Amino acid sequence: MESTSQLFANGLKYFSELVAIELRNMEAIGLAQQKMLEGMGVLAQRQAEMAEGTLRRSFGAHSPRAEGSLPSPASGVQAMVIGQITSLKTTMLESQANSNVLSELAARSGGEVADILQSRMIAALDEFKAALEQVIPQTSAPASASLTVQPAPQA
Amino acid sequence: MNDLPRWRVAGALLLAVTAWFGGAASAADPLGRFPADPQQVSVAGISSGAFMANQLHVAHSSGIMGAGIVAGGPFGCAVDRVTGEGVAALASLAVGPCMSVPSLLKPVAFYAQIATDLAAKGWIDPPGNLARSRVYLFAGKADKVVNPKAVELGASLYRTLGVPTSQITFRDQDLPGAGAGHSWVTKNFGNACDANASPFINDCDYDQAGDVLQSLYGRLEPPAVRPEGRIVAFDQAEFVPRAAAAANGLSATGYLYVPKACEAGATQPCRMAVVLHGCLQSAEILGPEFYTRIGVNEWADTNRITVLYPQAHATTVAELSAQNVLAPLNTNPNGCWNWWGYGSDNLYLTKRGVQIDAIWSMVRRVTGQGN
Repeated sequence: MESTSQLFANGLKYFSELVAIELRNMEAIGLAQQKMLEGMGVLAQRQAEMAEGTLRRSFGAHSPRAEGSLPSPASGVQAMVIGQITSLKTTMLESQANSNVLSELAARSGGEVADILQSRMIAALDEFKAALEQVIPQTSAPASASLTVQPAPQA
Repeated sequence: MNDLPRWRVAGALLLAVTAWFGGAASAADPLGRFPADPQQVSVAGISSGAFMANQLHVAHSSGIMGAGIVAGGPFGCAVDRVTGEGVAALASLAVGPCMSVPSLLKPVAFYAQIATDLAAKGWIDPPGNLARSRVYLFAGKADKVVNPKAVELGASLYRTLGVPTSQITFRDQDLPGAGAGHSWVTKNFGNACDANASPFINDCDYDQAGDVLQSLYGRLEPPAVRPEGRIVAFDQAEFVPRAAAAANGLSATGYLYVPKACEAGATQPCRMAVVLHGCLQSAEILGPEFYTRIGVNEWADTNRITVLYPQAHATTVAELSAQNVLAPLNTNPNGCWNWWGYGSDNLYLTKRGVQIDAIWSMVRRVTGQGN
C-alpha cells in the first residue's frame, strides 16, 4: 500500500518536473521568437535606410546642381566618363559594404536565436536527466536491494 | 668512466635550474608605481590603437588631458545602435564605413548622440570635460587602410563635443611625395613614406612622436639622441576579470618605458603617455619594434614622460570563453584593439569595457591612484 502511494507520489513529481521543463522550453522558444522578430525588425529598418541613402546619394551625384556647376566644355567627355566610373566604383563599394552589414545583422540575429535554443535544449536534457535520477533510484532501489541482499539458495 | 653519469646528472640539473630561473625571469612582474602626475595623462595610438585612444579619451575625459589620433575615426564608429545592455556594434561597419567606404559614414550628430546616450547612462564621463582637452589628429594622404575622411569626421566630432578648434591640431599634408600611407610616421625609420604595409611604421622625414607630444603637452625639450631609460615588462592579466587576458584580446605582457628622471624616488612627478599600437603591431608580432622605434621614448627621456605601451592579443575561437554559435564573430585575428565589440563586449567603448578598464587600471597603478 505504502509503495503504491510512493510510486504515485514519485510519478506525480516526475510529471510536474516534465511540465516545468516543458514550460521553460516554451519560454525559451518565446524568447527566441522575440529575438528573431527584433532581428528582422532591425534588418528591415537598415534595409530601408540603405535604400533611402542610396537614392539620396544617387540623386546628389547625378544632379548638376549638387556638384555646383556643369562640366566645362574643355573637360568635356573625358571628365564625364571619369566621373561616371568613380560614381560606379563608389556605388559598388557601398553596395558591398551594405550587403556585409545586412549579412552580419542576419548572422548575429540568427546566431542569437540558435544560441538560445541550443542552450535551452542542453539545459532541458540535463533537467530531464536529473528528474529521472530522482525517480529511478527510489523505485529501483528495493528491487536491486532484494537482488543483492536476498540470501542465495543453499541447496 | 664512472664519472660520466654524474656529469650527465649535474648537466641535467644545471639545465633544469637554468630553465627554472630563466622562465621565472621572463615571466613579467606586476606593474609598479612610479612618480607620475595623474593630471598629466595623455593617450595616443595608430589605427585600431587610435580608435582605442579616442575611446579611452572620451570614456575617461575627466582624467585624460589629451589624445593623439593617428589614422583613426570617430567615437562609436562601428556602433549600429545603443541598447539597454550597451551597444550593438558590427565588424562590417568597422571595415566598411569606418575604414574604406566613408560615404556611408553617418552625420556627425549620430556619433555625438551615442556619446550623449552613453554619458546619460553613466558609462562614460560627461563629454563636457572634453572642452579642456588638446587633440592631435593625423590622416595620411596615401592611407589605403583607414580613409582620411573618417579621421576628418573624428575631428569634426571633437568640435561637436566641445573641443575648441584652437586646441585641435589636424595634420594631413606637408609630407614628402604622395603623403603617408597607413602608419605611425617617423623621421628616419621604417618603410617608404607612402607604404601601407607591415610594420606600419613609415619614414616620412616627419617626427610624429614630437608633434603629437608637443600638441598635447605644449613646447618640449628636444629629444634625446639615444634614450637612456629602461623598458619594464609587466603582467597585464591581473587587470582583466578572471585573468582571462587572451579571451579579451589582451596579451599577457605589457611594457612601460621609464626615463631615468621618472624612476621611483624622483623628486618631481612625471607626465604619463599611453601609446597604443595598431593591428598587426603588437609585441607578439613585431617584437620590440613598436615600443622602441617610433620616436616616443626619445622625447620621453628629455621631457620626463613615462610611457605605457599596453599590448593587444590576436584572439582565436579556441581562446574565447563562450564557445557558441556567435564565437567566430567574436575573434580578433589581427591583434587589434577592441573598437567593434569583439569578445562579446557590448560596453567596449565605455569605462566598463574590458580593455578600457584594464588600461585605465594600469594608468591608476602607475600614478599611484589604484592598487
